[in-house]
Amino acid sequence: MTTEALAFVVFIAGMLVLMGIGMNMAFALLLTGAAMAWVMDFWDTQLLAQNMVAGVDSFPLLAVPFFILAGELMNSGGISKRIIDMAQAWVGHVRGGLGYVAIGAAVLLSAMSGSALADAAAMSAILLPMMRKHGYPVASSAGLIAAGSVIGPIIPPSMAFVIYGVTTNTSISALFISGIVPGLVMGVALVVAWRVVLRRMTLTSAPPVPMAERLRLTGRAVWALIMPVIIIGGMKSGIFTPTEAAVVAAFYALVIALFVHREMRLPDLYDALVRAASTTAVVMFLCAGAAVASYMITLADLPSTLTGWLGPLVDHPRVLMVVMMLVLVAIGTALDLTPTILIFAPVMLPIAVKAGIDPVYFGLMFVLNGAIGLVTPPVGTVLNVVAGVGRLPMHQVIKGVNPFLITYLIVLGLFIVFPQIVTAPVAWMR
Amino acid sequence: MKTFLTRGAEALLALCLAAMVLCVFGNVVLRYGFDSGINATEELSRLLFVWMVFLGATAAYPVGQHMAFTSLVGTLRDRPRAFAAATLVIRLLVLMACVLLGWGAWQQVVVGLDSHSVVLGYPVALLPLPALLCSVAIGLMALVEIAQRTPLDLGHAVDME
Amino acid sequence: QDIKPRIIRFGYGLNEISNQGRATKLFAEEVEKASGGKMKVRAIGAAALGSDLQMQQALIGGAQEMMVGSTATLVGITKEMAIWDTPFLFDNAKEADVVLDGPVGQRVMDKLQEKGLVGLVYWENGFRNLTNNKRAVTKLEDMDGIKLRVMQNNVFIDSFKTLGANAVPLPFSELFTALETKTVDGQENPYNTILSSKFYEVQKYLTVTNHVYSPWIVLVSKKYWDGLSKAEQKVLLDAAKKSRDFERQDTRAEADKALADLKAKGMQINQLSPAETNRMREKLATVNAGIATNVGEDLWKETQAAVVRARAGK
Ligand code: NA
Ligand code: NA
Repeated sequence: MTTEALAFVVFIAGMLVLMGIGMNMAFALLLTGAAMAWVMDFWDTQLLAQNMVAGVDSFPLLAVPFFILAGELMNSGGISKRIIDMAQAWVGHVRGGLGYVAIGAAVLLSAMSGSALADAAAMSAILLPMMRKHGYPVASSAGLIAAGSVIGPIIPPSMAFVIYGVTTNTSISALFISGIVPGLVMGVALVVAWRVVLRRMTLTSAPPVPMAERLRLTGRAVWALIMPVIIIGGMKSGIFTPTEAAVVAAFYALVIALFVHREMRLPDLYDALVRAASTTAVVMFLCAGAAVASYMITLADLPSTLTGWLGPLVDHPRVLMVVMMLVLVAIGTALDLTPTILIFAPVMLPIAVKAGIDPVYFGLMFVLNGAIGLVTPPVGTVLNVVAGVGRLPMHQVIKGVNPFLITYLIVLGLFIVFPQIVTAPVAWMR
Repeated sequence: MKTFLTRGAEALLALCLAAMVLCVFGNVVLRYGFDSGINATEELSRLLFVWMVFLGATAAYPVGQHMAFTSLVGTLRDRPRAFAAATLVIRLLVLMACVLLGWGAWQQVVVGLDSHSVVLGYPVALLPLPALLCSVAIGLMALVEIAQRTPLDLGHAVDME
Repeated sequence: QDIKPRIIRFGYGLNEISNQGRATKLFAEEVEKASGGKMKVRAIGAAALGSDLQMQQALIGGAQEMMVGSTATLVGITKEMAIWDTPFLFDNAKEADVVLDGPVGQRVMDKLQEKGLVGLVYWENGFRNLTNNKRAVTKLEDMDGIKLRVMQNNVFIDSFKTLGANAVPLPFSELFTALETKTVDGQENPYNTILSSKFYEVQKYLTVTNHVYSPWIVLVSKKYWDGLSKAEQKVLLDAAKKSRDFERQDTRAEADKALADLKAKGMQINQLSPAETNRMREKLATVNAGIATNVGEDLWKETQAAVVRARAGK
């Protein structure tokens, strides 16, 4: 066996064994990297330490804590609640209206927050009790909210795109822009799916909200609605880098929460800082561990080895894309979005590029697929959050999310067959 | 004692993040408001970020917040012997990772004492230092867990069922 | 002969098809040839072993054997290296060759030994030129307010600040993204780098400033070097010298072609007039005084004298 093949075997075996037994993933990645270094005759503990640090010593990655902080401030400062109130005022009264509220709120929130988890937490805390009260089946409601929050990492801003961009050296701004249209398509697909799911429900409708009240609630949400304009507009026009956009978003949310809505006090700010820093540290420690593994992946030139094995597939990009997406769906059942990006993007992207697939398109498809993994059992963090916040048994959420999961897989297929849906708007907007 | 340490760590984490926010936001304000910038902000915010990550990772270990795939080991819960064995293996592997990381970080700290960062001129040793501290702390915690046979924290993924 | 089988990991920042990659390949071949196939150089490019700074620390710690990289990033380790950052120090490549390969070059290189590094030879990165996205720089005042990426090195930061730009230090590995996301407006590098790193895709204006001559330096870990026999050291040093001669010739040929290519790729190219060059040089007097203090007045004077001799053609 060649050294490269051996390194590949060690990589796969290390991942399966170390992660399989339930070890902390960051250390599992570190040890896998160490084992690869050993078989490649590249052993030195200094390289392990150096690469762990280098893995997080990156300015673009600072966007991650800033976006998480912005999300925390939005939730504790009443911004998320105002968005949901507004959506409810407009469509709450139609049949199944709270479902459309959930979808609309998911799209709006995703344009402000960088992570699916923050969106899932906000929506299941506010919307799920409402849907319960109005007699919506709790499983379907929870499933819809879980599915809706998957849009979070697709519409910019997005932590997942930041990590993907840094890991694979892809333009973060381009990735952000590539997510807008697919995110909206996902929202529309959810509306269609919800209409189908609705048929089997008997629901009482809420009375329509008078126009004056609608306008009042929209006015209350206007500060929140300006946020995506600042983030996306500022970044697109080159006023801010993605990192700066993230910090501006956090600052904006802070000002609104403290001085406009006045729903937050300084101790809340301290708590938000601690929570954001802790969450970031856990995610970034994983980045650090993955940096060791990906350093060794680069040295072993795994992508070339794999490309060699894939042989004729490389000449058929569409088929290759289908294969890679199926592999990712399988990976997504067991792995979270971030580890999926950190571990597999550096291996898969070079293969895709060799087959002539556009790196930004691939990045979007990769992140979309990984985000769908957030709601596939057995390991789906968004499912956990919705079940946890909504105090529901896990199997109910899983049952409820199924129709929407199938919808997303159809959307994914659509983007494979018609990549123009993704690439055309990017070309137009850049 | 534990709460004191936890509180201290939390305060430091909040401080790091607040300082990073001020650095980066301050730079934006300076650029558009005053047409200038501080070169130190980038270097400083990156250094703070590295410290925040390793500090937060250390604080996350005892409360079982690190991402792990516990579904498989969770199925062993009803077989105490096998579960204890798996738990021990995991902790020994964590300990091994800490030893490797700590040893490497220590060497890099020594190397970095003599080199200086460009803008602020801080010793480059400050970059691997948090990795060293983190590996020592987590290594010690893993040792204590092994000695006390603390049951493995399976996280919320399994509790929920 | 006292030569053992060895594998030498040699890291560099650019990709395989760059001038750095070609010269590294030649170095590897020469080492293998001269050692009768016993010593093998494993060349790893594209910063796969990390940034220059990361590789330097690895060399000092003995985790990696060799690298080639910029002299400017070494200033944090050995302050004398800052002498090569002096703006407008050399008028042409010929002068640079004479001074770098002469006693002054050797003296600066030897300073690295105290810090755990052994310098073998200087390669040529080239005269650096300015690109940006804001405006065509034709005079000193045009530098004003351009957010310019510079190497992580105080002399560069000070020089460009003095000239009016907003100098931002960033590692090279993050430069392309920074230009693309408009974190910075511009950068300065030799033509070859501007072409091979595809900066023309994200930069509009190129000004031929020739503002500083940038050498690269081939380094060996001192921990590793001290464990080599005299014969093995000679193999490395001889191969390094051969690679140097090849690299300079190759780089110069490539630079001429690169400039033409950049023009063909649509960059707007303009020349800085000698009068403006002089204005800039005068403006930088304080920076030069600072460099002299930092590297030591002795070394400063010795270098200036060497440049004068080289200029006189002796
Ligand atoms: Na988002
Ligand atoms: Na999943």
